[in-house]
Parts: sequence; structure tokens; C-alpha cells
Amino acid sequence: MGEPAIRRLLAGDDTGSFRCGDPDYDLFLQRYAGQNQNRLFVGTTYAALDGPRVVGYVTVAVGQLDRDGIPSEARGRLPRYPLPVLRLARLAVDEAFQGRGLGRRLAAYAFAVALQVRAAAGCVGVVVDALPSRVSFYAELGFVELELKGGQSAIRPQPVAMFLPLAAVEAALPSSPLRRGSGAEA
Amino acid sequence: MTHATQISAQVSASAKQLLDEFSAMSGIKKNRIVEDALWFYVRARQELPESAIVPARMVLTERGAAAVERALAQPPQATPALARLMQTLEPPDEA
Repeated sequence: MGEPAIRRLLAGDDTGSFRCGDPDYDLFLQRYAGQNQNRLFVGTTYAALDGPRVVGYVTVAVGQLDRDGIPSEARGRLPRYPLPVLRLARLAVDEAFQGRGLGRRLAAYAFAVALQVRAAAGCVGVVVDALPSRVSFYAELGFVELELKGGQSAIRPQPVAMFLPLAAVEAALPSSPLRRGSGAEA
Repeated sequence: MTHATQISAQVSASAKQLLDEFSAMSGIKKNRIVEDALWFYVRARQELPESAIVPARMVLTERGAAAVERALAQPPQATPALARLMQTLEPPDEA
């Protein structure tokens, strides 16, 4: 069996048998991901496919980090206008494909999409809504926890918003001279 | 023609700026933008449960803003875990 290919979710993709262990994530893929993407244009889902069957997905949406209400002297060197980001809202892998690195491939794919968004329209980083059980995984990638007073995800259990600057993703690309040598070959 | 009425609302400075800039750029009147945006928003909320909506605007606390500033100011070094992750990269399909 080959590696599942990743591409944008299409209307004919088989989502009906997707089971990741969290019914809310299954339902989102089966009922709402297509609507979000094709009718409401509020997010895009990239699917990993085993034949016609979706066996993993990552949903992203453009967003912005705003600092309303923070005194200008407390804003530091950040510009006063909102900062554009790509929000990684959901990532899930079918139970039959868990433990094979598919979730990591989907995350890397989403980061590459963020680099494309940066080139096309501007984007300073990725914000992930990390489930509490995945916070340490994203922290190892360099994400920092983000304290929000508005715009939190309504997913339950309440995810932790975390931020990674795209410069770090760019530095991690295999061709980057900024990539650290140690550990990168493991 | 539908009878028009007037509303006023307290909004964030950035929302006002966005409205002003988009109106100036597109040539669409502000009342039309607000009305269209409202219809889109209500339609989305009627068709999707709250948990299926990804809020586009995230408002940082002072501590959150400081965390972002530190992250952006640091030299762009990748952690070993991120470098390993990006080894799995395949180029996204064209939009």
C-alpha cells in the first residue's frame, strides 16, 4: 500500500467511512468541510487519500492577529495593523492510518500552504488550535502558546492557540542555510 | 425599493479601518459592505454549528501580543523536530 496522496478536498471524495476516534472531527469532515470550502469560502480542507477514501485531513483558514485595546506603548515593535496568519483549525487521521506519520505529513503540507499564502497575499505565521493532548507536539516544533481574548475556537475540549512564525518554517526547509544540523537527519 | 433605516454600532478601530480601506479600494459603499457581510455571516451561522466555524479574527491579550513579538523578533531557526517534519514535505497542489 502506497503513501496516501494529499490534495484539496473534492466533492466526490469518500468521507463516509472516516473514523478518527473523535466523532466531532468525523462529522466535521463528512458534513461541514465541503460547505466551508465550496459554498461559504471560510476555510479549505486538504485530504489524504487512500484510493477514493479520505484517511486524513487538515483544515486551514486565513485569519488575523489583532491587538485592539492594547496601549500603543505596550505593543512593542509590532505594527499597529492586524497581522495576517494561516489558522490550522483541524487535523485528524483515520484510526487505520494512525501511527504512520500521516498527521505529520498533513501538518507539513499546511505549513507549505502558509508559505504560498505568504507569497501571494502576506502571512507572518501559522496559528494552530492545538488539542490539549497535542500541545507538547507543537511546542517541540517551536510553537508558542498564544493568549487570546477573542476569536477562540469553539471546539471542545477547548484547544490551545499556538503561534509559529513562518520564518521558522522557511528555515526548516531542506534547502535552507538556516536549518540546524543536529537532529535534522534523524 | 426596500425602506432603508439607520443603525450605529461600537466596533473596534481595526474593523473600522478595514471597512474604510475596503470601501475606498473597491468603490463599494460602506452600507452595502456591512449589509452584504451581515447576510453572509447570518447565513453561515445558520448553516454551520459554532464548532465548525473558524473565527478569522483573533484578538491578543497584552501577554499574547508580547509572545508574538518575541517569536517574530527571534532569528528564524528551526527546531530539530520542525526540520524533521519538513523533510516529509510535498509541494501543495496549485490552487
